[in-house]
Amino acid sequence: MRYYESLYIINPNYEDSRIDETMKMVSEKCSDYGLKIINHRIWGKKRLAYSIQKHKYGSFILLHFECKSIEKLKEFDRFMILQNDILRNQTVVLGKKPQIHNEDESKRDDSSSKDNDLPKKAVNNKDALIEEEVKEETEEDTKEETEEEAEEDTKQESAKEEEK
Amino acid sequence: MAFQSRRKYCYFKENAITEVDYKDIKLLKRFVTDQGKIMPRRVTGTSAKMHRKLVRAIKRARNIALMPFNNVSTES
Repeated sequence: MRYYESLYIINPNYEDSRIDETMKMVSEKCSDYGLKIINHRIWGKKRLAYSIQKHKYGSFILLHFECKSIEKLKEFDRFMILQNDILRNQTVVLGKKPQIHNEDESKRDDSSSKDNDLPKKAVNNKDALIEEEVKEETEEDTKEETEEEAEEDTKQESAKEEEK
Repeated sequence: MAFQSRRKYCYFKENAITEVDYKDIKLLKRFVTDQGKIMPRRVTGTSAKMHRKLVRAIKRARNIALMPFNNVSTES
């Protein structure tokens, strides 16, 4: 059992309804071939690095699926090539299971990733944390010393009173 | 006057990146010239292991038209 990622480009002039139709067709064909779909979503309309069939833009669709046999995968690839709506298709093997995509979560991830994109800062923070710990330790030591001194003073005073 | 050579380092090792995604164009563009050629390892300082992964990712991005094979404009 292996996980695959397929990225395909649909004609950019298509409306949303027609894109949905082609996506439905692809997912139906997937189920016919016995491919288990994990994610199937629109990645966005992007400018192509070079023109394909005289199109400068393309609607990218991302498909994650699970497949048991390579023969079925070849058939699926053949089907995708033969479609006129699909300008280009590329299927890639994934190392591990892809995460199930949620639109709300992806928005949150985008906002959080902007904050944590500098690992060097994290290293500096670690150093800062260590310094803070050392400071705390030294403060504790000084506190203990002062307490001991105070105890000794009280003992000496009590001894003097007993002598009297 | 002696020239001080800038120390090269592996970008992926420095930022703890283990896998290169072919859809991450912003990252891949750092390792490609203006013409669209893949920069050599001796220039970028990338480790051999990560360079192999990087090259595979760039070639995949080219196939799906996210990156150019050749950026020389033929229109003008």
